Amino acid sequence: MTDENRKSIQDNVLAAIDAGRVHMKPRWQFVLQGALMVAGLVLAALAVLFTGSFIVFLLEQNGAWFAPAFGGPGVRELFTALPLLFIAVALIFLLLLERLVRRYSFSYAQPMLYSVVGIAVFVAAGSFLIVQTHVHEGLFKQAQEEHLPIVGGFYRQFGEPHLDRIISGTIVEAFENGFYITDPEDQQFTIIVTPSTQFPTGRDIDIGDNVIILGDRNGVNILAEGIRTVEGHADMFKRHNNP
Amino acid sequence: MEELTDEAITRQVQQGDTHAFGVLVERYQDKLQRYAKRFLFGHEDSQDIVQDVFLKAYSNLQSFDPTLKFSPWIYRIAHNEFINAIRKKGREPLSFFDPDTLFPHPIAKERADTEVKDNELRAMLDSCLEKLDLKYREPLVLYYYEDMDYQSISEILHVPVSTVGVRLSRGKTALQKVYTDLHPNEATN
Repeated sequence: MTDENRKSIQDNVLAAIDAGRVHMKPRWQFVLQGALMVAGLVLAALAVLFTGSFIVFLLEQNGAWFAPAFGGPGVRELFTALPLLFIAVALIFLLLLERLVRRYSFSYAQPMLYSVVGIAVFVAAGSFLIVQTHVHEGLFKQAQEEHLPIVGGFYRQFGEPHLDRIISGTIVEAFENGFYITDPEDQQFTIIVTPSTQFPTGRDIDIGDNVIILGDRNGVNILAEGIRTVEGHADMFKRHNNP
Repeated sequence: MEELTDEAITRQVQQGDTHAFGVLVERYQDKLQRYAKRFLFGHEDSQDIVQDVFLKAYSNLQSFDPTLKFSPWIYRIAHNEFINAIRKKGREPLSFFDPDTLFPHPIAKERADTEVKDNELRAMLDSCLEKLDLKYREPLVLYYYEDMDYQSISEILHVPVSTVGVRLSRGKTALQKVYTDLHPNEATN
């Protein structure tokens, strides 16, 4: 580099500073930027957690979450029931979260696999914990009682079970080859048990038990391929608009 | 002023001594010009781009933490400006995702090469740099010409330290191939 070039860069930079053509941005601007970045990270994380836990809530509501206990056909039902729209939304938030996290040295200095796995574990554990708090059940209940503005319609639209081959309900009466159940909308179904019906949680079922049935419907009659009991989750077996 | 560290001078500039910034420009203009020439092959306006790097550094100086090293910080700004310049000209393809950053790699030992080998590599780099993929060219330039360690290169490129090692290793292999293609007689001798 010639002396002339050296001089010109240094002179030009200092001249631009002296003439006020370039200003040093104040520190608060960077503090604000950093705070906004953290806020964005927190919002993205909350959005992922909310969407992730909502997906689990939906699958619990329609019974698909419990279907893998029935083996291959149950796993197939779970995959068929996956809410692809919400999974896509969760993935978008995940990508956003990953992108924001990669701006920090603790993340970019490590292979991307680590941050992806870290975020996946965080989302899975966080979603599981949120599901345990029954926050979605609470919001769903409020939505059904018309006490939840804005997102109430959203919960009412997506929170109702609508699977063809899986039904949840409470046993109300038994007969020789089966029993009657009432679903969360108080509709009664006849469950027919055959020798090939699977009982992955045991055959010890009684009146009052909450059950998930896998089988083909014929009107209100269901030929059960599998029957399992579900403990806890009482809310999903009784809709709150039905006293 | 001359005996102060970069970071101490930066602190002075942050406190209002704007002319102290001239010392930083003086210390880094040769390095950044050299970096620009090797990174931005064929860009006639590299001097203007380096000048923009200093103006941008001055403008963002309050975001610099003087407890950290100044050198990777200003090289990071230079890297971004150079990438923008390449993008504007559209001469070289820039990938948004590098699979090398995805998985962990064993970190190669730094400075494993002898000085003679380093000099050989520098000579090869001089004659073949333009033919090398940008993703290998930059770490090779930073390592062999700017004497940066893996950690500093990782901070400049925002890639894992292990990826720096992988790119250097693959870059050297690519360099040898390019050199052999360009100088077939020397390779067979």
